[in-house]
Amino acid sequence: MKLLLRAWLRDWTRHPLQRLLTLLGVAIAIAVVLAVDLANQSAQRAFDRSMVEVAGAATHQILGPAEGFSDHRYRALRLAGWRDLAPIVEGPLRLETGETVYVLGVDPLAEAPFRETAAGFGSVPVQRLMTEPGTVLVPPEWLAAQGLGAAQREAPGRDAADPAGGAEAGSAAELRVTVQTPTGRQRITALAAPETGRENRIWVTDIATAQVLLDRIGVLDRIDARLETPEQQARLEALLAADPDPVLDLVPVAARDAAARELAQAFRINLTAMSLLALLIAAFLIYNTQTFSVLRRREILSSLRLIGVSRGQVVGLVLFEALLVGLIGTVLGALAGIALAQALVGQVARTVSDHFFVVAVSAVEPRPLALVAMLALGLGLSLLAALAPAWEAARGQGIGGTGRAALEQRTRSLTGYLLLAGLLALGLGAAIVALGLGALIGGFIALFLMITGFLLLLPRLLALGLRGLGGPVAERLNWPLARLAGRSLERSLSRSGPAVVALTLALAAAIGVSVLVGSFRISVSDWLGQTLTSDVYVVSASPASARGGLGLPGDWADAMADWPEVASVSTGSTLEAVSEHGVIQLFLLAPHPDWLEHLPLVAGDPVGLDRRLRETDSILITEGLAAHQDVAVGDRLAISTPQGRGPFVVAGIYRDYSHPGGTVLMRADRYYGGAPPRFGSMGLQRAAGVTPEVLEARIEAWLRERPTPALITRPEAIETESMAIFDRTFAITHLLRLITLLVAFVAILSALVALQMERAREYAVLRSTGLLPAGVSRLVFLQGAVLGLFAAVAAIPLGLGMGWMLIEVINREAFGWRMDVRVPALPLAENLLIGLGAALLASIYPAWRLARMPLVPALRVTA
Amino acid sequence: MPQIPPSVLECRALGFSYRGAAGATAVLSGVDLTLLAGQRVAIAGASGSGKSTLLHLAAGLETASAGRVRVNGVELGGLGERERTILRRRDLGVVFQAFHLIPTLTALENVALPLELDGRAWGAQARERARAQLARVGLADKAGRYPEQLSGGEQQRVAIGRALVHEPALILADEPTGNLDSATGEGVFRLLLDQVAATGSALLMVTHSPALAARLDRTLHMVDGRLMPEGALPTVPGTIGSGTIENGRE
Repeated sequence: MKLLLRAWLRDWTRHPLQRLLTLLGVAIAIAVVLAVDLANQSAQRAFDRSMVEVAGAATHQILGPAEGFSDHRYRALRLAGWRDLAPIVEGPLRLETGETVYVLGVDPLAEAPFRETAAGFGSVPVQRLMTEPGTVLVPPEWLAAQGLGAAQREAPGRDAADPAGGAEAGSAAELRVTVQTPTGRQRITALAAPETGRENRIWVTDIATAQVLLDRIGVLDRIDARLETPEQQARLEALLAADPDPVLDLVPVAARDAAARELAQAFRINLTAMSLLALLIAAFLIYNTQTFSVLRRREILSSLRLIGVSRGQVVGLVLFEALLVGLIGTVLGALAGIALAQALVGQVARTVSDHFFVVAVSAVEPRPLALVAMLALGLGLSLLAALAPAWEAARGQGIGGTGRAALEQRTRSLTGYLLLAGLLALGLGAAIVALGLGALIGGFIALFLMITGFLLLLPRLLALGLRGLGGPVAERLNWPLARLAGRSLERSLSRSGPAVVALTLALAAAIGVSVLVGSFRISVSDWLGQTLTSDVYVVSASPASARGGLGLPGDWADAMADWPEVASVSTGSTLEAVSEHGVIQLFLLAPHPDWLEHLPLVAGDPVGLDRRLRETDSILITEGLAAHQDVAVGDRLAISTPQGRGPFVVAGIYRDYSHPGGTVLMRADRYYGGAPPRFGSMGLQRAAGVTPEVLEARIEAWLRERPTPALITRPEAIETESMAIFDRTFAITHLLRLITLLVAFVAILSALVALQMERAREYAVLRSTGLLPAGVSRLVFLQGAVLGLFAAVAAIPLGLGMGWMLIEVINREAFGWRMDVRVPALPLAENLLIGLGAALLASIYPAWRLARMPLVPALRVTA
Repeated sequence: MPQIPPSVLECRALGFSYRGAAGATAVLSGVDLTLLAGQRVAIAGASGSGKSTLLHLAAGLETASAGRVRVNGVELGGLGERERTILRRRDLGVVFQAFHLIPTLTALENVALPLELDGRAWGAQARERARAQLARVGLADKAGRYPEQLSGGEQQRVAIGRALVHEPALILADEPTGNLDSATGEGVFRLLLDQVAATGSALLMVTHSPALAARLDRTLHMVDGRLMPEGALPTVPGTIGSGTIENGRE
């Protein structure tokens, strides 16, 4: 059927603009979906690699209190006969250059079953770990990145901070590096780690060196274990429980990171959902284009049917063309998507690192399966979007068969059914939300039903609005152009409808995201303002380990509390602790006296709360923790402390946005018992008559005399940095919003150009009966403005509804966060302008063409 | 007894109506018509009398509301859409006032299309046959032109070539010279008659022109959806005589 295909597809060369716009829309949509998917997958793989690097082949971890446990316990376990155990000390270490690296202190003799990097006596670098204190194995690429050439790397003793330093003889690639430890500056020797065939970003050293560098002499952070059978697990658990001072817990490796993995997945799901919106709009674009192209070629279809082309062949032509558009658009989109992913992946990784766990991603790794899936998606979508136009094309009988008038009549009748279907979909979505069905996925289904339901209402509403414009409104205003515009658009509903729906969807998505981000931003800002009650903060300059939360000397708080400039001192530290729900974030607070007045408590009795927290085993938890772990006021949580593992009663739930997984707040004195508390930050409230600047100067002068490095910061700086992290988090969302709007613009441009050019004869008749060329232009712009304005106005309720859903359902399910819904005035006004602007811009070309077209050819009678 | 040629088209009590807002409207009723192989018949009548509807029914483009239609012995009423399409591409050729050429195919490709659709010829073979057909209609030198590059008369010649390339049993022509000036129309009409004679096809032609109708074997007159009895003259001035041809006799 070569001639048949040729007859159909040669139309592309005659109307290239339409095809190009469709290809562009499809390509952009596919690009954004693929880019988000690739960026997400790359970040996920980076996380998995990090976990493998840190956890190695361990199946379980023996964990204790946040500040670690005595290394005697490890010896005891080994003496009890447990062999596949490896002691670990770990934490971040800051280089003098300002870079922070992650250090893993291991026992090379015990490492063989767990990690290859520092196992056994096989390599010289590993031997040096055990024989030369202060030696660290670093990733070879880190050495390469120090800007030293290969020859220079072979000259040992070169100081990383002073490339011109003296050289010492040596045979391995190594560098002398200065690091900042809690006890002061130290020099270490960085050796290139042996190649293991896997990517490695961790700095590995002997456990004794790590204990010195991280100031954890005699302390371990964890013990990795390889347990082959459930019986082994049960025996070890029993042994740990039988200890006279049972502070150790056996935790499966997977469970430890499950929460972070789940939260990061929720973040990625949100991104993916946003990107799929762009794809949905592209589907409208394809549908519109195919519908237009079928209608424009109805004469060809008539002729083909006359000479014996069957309906099946007609359907095949339309679908094949759509498939071709989908294929080309998808291939172009895939290429663009890979490039876009490179730009996005850093942003995704940074957001994940800011909020969930540290990942380092340098490059996107497109997997063949992902690309094949994208191809299938693009082709499938194209076929789906072309089904209705193909069916419509096949209905034609040729001469005397269905024409445009009949199509429009059918479309108008269909709007009634669409209205009913839309109401049904809205009802279903509301029911899912009201009943709380399906958690996060249920939330997305409800959101999809809500969006679909509302969009199905639009064609009927548009028809009514246009009828009003072409009737009573035009009469009242005595405006003939309005009558022409309204009636003409109403009779082209099959064409104008889908274009308006696509634009409405894009604008509504933009409004919804604005409501979400705006409400969130205001809530976070309010929360920061409410909870940052100190005038000046002092924080440790050495980044605390993930489970240490330590850094400032314990006597600093008492010392500063005696100053006349200081009214009150609070201390805080964040640790990881083991509970029955796995590893949780624990915030230890020694607060200001009035702290509860500023705590946004959402559940629990505030009366006597401070006394209960001070005098009993009571805690506060955040909304996020309460939601994720299904914990309520009055419930008990078993948490490991230096005194052992004990139940703590949840006395209240408060709002907090600092950690997506949620936090347990405990008074520091309850956690440490009688022992001196340790903390990573202090908050100082100034005395009456003292300015923050004076207090800050006092602290600076005092710190200069102390060896422990510390930073001074003000609440304004913390708020600025926090909002910067917030804005970074949503940078991708804003980018996706822009891309979605771009696809919608392409859709409305394509639709308006085709709509107007297809009615060239109508305009020719108007001009031949007296309408000036300028009048034609005004009419075209008026029609564009009507459609754009309708879409912009319709987008408001849909967008606000989407925003509400995103806040009250999606984000609450995903992260447990609650916030007040705020309706931003500026984005609403912006979207009105964007909708109107897009439609007017799209009207420029057809207005220009139609005002200048030769009349006779356009007036020629066609069958 | 003289040999009776086979009938190519047979209509018996044929009727067609459509349902509109005001109810059912009869367009054709009680039409009896038989066309034998090689016969050339004109259908005349006022606008809206149902002439084109009769052609549409004969082509299988519409389904009769009453009566029956046979083309080449095959009853159209019993056929599905697919079978009617196949019959149309094999046994019928259509020539219409508006030419109905495919604008994205050249003259040569337009003529070759029915051959490919029916599977009678492909590729080079189809092109060769189409080229020969174009030569017969006098457009061998315009094979590579697109319809918009041809004059009205040339386009109708291509349409005639396309209608006859597969040597169908029946040609249906609806005002084939309606869009042409008289000189061009005369040339096209003569070409149509010559080609019909060359292939032995029957011809059923709708026309407003008494002069053209007179040059065919018989002229039948349609008034308000009914074929006038043979010999009966229509009461509308300027119309021509009518009759039926049954079993090869007037």
